[in-house]
Amino acid sequence: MQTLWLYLYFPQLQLDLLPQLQADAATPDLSKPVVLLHPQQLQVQQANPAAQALGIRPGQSLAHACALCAALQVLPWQSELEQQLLELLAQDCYQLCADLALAPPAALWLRLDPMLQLYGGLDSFLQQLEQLLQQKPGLQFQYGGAVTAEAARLLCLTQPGQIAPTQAAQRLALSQCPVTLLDLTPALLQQLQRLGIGQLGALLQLPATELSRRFGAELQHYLQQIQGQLPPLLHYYQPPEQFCARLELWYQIEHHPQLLAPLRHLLLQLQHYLQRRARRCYQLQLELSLRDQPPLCLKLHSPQAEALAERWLALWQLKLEALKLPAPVLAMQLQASQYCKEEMHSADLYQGKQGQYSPLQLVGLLQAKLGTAQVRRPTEHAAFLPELAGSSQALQQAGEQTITPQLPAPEMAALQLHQPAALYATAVSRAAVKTPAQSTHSAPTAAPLAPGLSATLSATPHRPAFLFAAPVPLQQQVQLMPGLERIQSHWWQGQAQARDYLTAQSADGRWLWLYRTEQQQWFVHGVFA
Amino acid sequence: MQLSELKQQGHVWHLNQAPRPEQALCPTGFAELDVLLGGGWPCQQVIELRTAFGIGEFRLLLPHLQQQSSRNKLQVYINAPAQLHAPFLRSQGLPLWQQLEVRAKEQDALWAAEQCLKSGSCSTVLLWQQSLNIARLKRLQLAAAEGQAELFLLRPSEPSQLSLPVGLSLALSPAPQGLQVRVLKRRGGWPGAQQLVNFSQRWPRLVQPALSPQKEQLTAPAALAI
Repeated sequence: MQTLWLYLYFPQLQLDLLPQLQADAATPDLSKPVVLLHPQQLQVQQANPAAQALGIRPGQSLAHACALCAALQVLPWQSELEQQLLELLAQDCYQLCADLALAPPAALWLRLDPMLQLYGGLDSFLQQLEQLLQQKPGLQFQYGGAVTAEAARLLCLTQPGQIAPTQAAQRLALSQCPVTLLDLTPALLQQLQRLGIGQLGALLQLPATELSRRFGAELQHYLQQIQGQLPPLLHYYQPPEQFCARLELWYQIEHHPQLLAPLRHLLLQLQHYLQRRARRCYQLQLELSLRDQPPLCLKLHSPQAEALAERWLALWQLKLEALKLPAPVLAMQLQASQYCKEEMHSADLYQGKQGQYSPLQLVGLLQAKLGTAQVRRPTEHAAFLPELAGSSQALQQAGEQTITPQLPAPEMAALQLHQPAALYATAVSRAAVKTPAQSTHSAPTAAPLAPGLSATLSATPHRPAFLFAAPVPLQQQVQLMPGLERIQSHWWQGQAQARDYLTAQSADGRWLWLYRTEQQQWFVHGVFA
Repeated sequence: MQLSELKQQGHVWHLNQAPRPEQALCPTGFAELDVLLGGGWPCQQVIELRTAFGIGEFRLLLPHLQQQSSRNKLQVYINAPAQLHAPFLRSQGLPLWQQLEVRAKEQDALWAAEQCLKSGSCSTVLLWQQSLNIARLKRLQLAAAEGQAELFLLRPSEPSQLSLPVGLSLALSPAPQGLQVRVLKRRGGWPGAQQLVNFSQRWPRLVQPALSPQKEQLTAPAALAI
């Protein structure tokens, strides 16, 4: 089966995308002549239309370009940035065509023949491609198509827009192609030119054995690649598994509100990335490269997985408010982790007005501003000691189940069945033993249980609404109420705890939950508010 | 004709924009308190409770919280003086997943309360806060109306404190059989009325035992602890 390759070339990639890259005041005025200069070779790499109108062409030296225009704005050409931009474009084009290879610095190879049936022909595919690329305003591109990848490249450079779908058409279209465009070593090119071979057509007419004898196997292989007798050596593009984007700033940022504009740019990229995959993510990591300081790493977690840049930006705004930058920021890098599938939530239409945030979004908002540990939820555990049975836990780990209705865990349900019976049996028997007459201690003892109370006891445990994080030593006069509950625990671990819990009212009317240890020490453990 | 034009002319409208019959009062769960308040807690408003911590103020709100839990929205406790105890909440039928404890500095606590109220995902917010100015209170009131939530503002009862323009303000004080509730301010009613809310039915172990001659008053001395 005959292949069809498209070579997509972006001659001014970095310069065209400059306004989108830095949407702020620091962007140079692109209506004036601007060039990107190769920092090592000091040659003009890319020139905008205003500069080209003055005769400045890529490949000219800086002195030449400055001589043509005195008010020329010169910016550095960054090869890493060019690579990043190309990968972004590859991500876009991956939506249209799966067989894709990068051709650095500024081009892509697309293998079209498996896709044509899907799109219903070459024309409709090209139309889709153009629509996609036009979403990036100002981006210039040109393409050429041929049976082999290398031929497509040559065709794109010599006759942009030309498609040669058959071997014969390709041969004809390339016959005029100058040999200087071929991807060969300079020595070989010079050798060809000295022999008077200026065009590809003339080269291909020569017998293959003669060529390989004279120029070596390298040229022979290359020509075979052009003609499709050897497959192209390309690494197909794979979209990244994890989102990671980096942005070099044009100027140093010293105050956090200024960070939001570049951050927004990165978040929009993230949104784009996530929406394409129908995903959301729970956690973002922002790394700020600082001047003369190690980079600053910030993590932001949203219990409600988000995809939208606006939502993330609102959370980052809260997070960054608390931030003091130790040194100016030079660059920022955004990474996303913990992805989940996008699920469509539908609200109840008849419930009336809906609120601004879902519960999980609210938790995310509070956590971003106050810190993750400050937003907690009371949780219950299968334990006998009150401080272990009920504690509050930070809503740290992602997951819908933390804040949506759930069934009790099986072991919890089992404990609920057995615990009260076991505990209150102890409580009643202890109370029966400790009659006031027996008591010889200086500390008070509880009155025995009133008969009516035992029924109330067995129904629900008598627990306070609030528990102190650490028990407070009792330091005031209190009046004890009847009813005692003994909790003995951890004897199996060698740290036996035996506490007699009592209810008491203080002189100012507060209802306290006290306990007495075996050493006759009294503590306030909770408050029946 | 475009859909947007139809919408502008009012031929097409969203169901969720429909006016909603406002429920002005929610029953408190205590008959005597309902009488005092003219029917119940005012809905979607800021309610101030001047109270000490631990005299039964939470038990006064409990029937309301239990009733609101059927709305499947969050109940947020901001800067509570101690940790909420989960076994108690569960035994009272409050689903734990709805309960959220927030700790914040004083200014941030007001911000958090406002966010919770206007999020529309909370049914009730309890805020323990010392000081509050009128402008912040107005914002909280607007947020409560927007998000259809009640805010209970629990403040210590100090006489010198600024009186706030709230719809309902109550002073709570301990009583042997429950809680003495005095109306400091009520929209559409007179202040000064008092009522004893009797807890002896609901909380037999948390009221003073009924008067009996052989009642034994036991007192604990100040214990020395480590």
